[in-house]
Amino acid sequence: MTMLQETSAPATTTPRESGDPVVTWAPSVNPGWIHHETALLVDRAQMLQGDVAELHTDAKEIDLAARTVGKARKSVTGLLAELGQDRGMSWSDIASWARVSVSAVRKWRQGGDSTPDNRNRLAMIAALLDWLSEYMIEDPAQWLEMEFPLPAGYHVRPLDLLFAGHVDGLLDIAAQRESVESVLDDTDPDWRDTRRSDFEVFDAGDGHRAIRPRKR
Amino acid sequence: MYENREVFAEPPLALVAAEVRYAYSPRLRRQEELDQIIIALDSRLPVVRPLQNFSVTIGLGGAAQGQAEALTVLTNVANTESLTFGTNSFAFEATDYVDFPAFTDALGLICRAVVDAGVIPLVERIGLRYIDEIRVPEAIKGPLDWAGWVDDSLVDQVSVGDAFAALRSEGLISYSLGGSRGLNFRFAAVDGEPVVGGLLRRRRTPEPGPFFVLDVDAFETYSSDPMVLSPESVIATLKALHDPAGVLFQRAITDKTRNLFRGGDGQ
Amino acid sequence: MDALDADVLYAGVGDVAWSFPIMQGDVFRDVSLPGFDTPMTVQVVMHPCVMREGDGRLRPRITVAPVVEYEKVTGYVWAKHLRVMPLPKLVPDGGTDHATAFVDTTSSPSSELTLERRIATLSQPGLLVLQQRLIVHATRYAEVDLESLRKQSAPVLMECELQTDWVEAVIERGGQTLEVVDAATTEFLEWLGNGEGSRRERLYNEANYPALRRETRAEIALRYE
Repeated sequence: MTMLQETSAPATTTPRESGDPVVTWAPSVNPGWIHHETALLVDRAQMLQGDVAELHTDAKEIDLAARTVGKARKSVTGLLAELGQDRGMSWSDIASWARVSVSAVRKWRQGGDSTPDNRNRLAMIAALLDWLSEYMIEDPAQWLEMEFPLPAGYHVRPLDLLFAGHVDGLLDIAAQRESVESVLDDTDPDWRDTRRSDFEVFDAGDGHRAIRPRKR
Repeated sequence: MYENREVFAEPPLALVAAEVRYAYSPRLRRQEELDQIIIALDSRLPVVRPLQNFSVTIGLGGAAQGQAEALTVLTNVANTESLTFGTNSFAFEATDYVDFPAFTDALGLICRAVVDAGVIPLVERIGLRYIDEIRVPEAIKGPLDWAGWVDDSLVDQVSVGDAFAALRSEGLISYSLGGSRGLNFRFAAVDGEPVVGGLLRRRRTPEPGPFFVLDVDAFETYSSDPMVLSPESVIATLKALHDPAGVLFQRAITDKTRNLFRGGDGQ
Repeated sequence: MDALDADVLYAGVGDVAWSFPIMQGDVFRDVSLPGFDTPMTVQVVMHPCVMREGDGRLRPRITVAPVVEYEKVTGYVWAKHLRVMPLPKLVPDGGTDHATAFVDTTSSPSSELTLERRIATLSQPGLLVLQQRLIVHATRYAEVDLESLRKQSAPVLMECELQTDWVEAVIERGGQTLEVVDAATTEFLEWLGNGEGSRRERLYNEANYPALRRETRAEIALRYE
């Protein structure tokens, strides 16, 4: 059951069977018309949910793959310029993603040899940053480096998911389709134990940061 | 063309809607792409309204989850056609439906505008929905009084409890049209507010009262074989869905209602 | 306890670019240490936050530990050799493995730690693993997670990263000489600034890092390309 409200006019209620796969959306249809069918259709919706979820995953992968192909038309130096200068990613993070050493990235920047796989890896992250921008993440490189809002003691960044290869989960978090916790539960079931830190970083009196045991 | 197809002088048609649903389109959250689409459709749908859609999904067990999404609605000046954009679908509605070719022309225009804006998502479902509200000149006191105006099969179910006074009767039948096409047929003997309301202006604004609803919703899904959005593919699908929808409508009405729709007195 | 392969451990090994500032984890050959007869290979173990004076120059003495030939240490075995920092493939052409012996930590005149003598510099993950092992060795305290160490060192590591980019661009233009490196370092430090409102102040908030990189790289392009 949904309500469609014009932001500058009195509310007009129109139903949308949110996510219901079996009803053609017609915003002009009044609420209450379909309500009695919700229970009837939930079973069918559940059956189709798997198909729809799979299609969502396929669609994201296809979309990212298509964008990667587009980005891969650029040279490696061009991609590094985009990632480093336009986006502000660190060479170290780019190297980690591309699974090469930092010195290899330096050589690429100076026109050194790279493989097609190297270029595709760089193209993929460039495509991912574009994709994140479209989800109204203003500075995707910044978003990747900032810790997720998790309970105290957990320091997980989007970059960590990226380096672990969980691009799909990362996209779901960015699109607010999944919570961080649910993606971590899927990708790293023990994360609540293994990623908990007993330490916290604080500003010490000498102008530098220091580490101390986290207060419980 | 389906059997008995006829253009009525006073049709009961309250609304025709077509929805194109796609799995994922973050580009449609961007104002740049939306603006391009709005400009492309400016000559047909020049009135732009931003709206909030509050949706509450109720799952099994009654757990409710709410979320809000920003929508964009374009309407024509007469306020008889609208195009509503969400992030996962767009819906085109018309209360002044003339004929099917004109309706598909509009969809073609819309799809072209979307594609030209660089939004080329994978289509998940295309639906075509006809909602008729049949009102008759005779007094209708209960569902059984619709006998003769609609096919007996839509009324006979009431007799299961013929020891009691039936107040409302409704039904839902899901048909397969073969492959990944289907048709959901909802029907009801209603006494109250119209089913179709909302933003659009109707040919005649009906008063609350008894009417019989025929809600024919034909669709095709693309879960196993994703289809990229294009005007041609959407129109082809709508054409394939149109005839079955028309057949069902014709089977649901009687010659008495045909006469009424032709401008007669329904005798 | 984390273990790293050589590919990930080093940002440079063998012929190390002079654009990298001298940093904790750097390995130098032929360093003459007071009380030792022969020059040694050493690794800087001093924390980067305290390596430099206010003007950015190295302190007169820097804490180092000798690097010795050592058995091959791989994988989980890193957790068993807590008195050393393994340095696999320090000699790039397949020579014996090495490790830094924490038990012989001493200090070296910083004048001995020259760019010409540097033979390795660690990557960020490598430097964090070194810090982790130093803590265990020095205090027997429980293993501090790398993420906490990263956050603690973030400002100085970020400054190091920006300086590397800056000096590298100048070297490409003017050649790899000590004069070029010194001048470029001075220019960078001036650009980074000090005090309230400076770019240096922005180092203390990781949210600023991509923007700082973009600004620095744009400034480099403006000045040197």
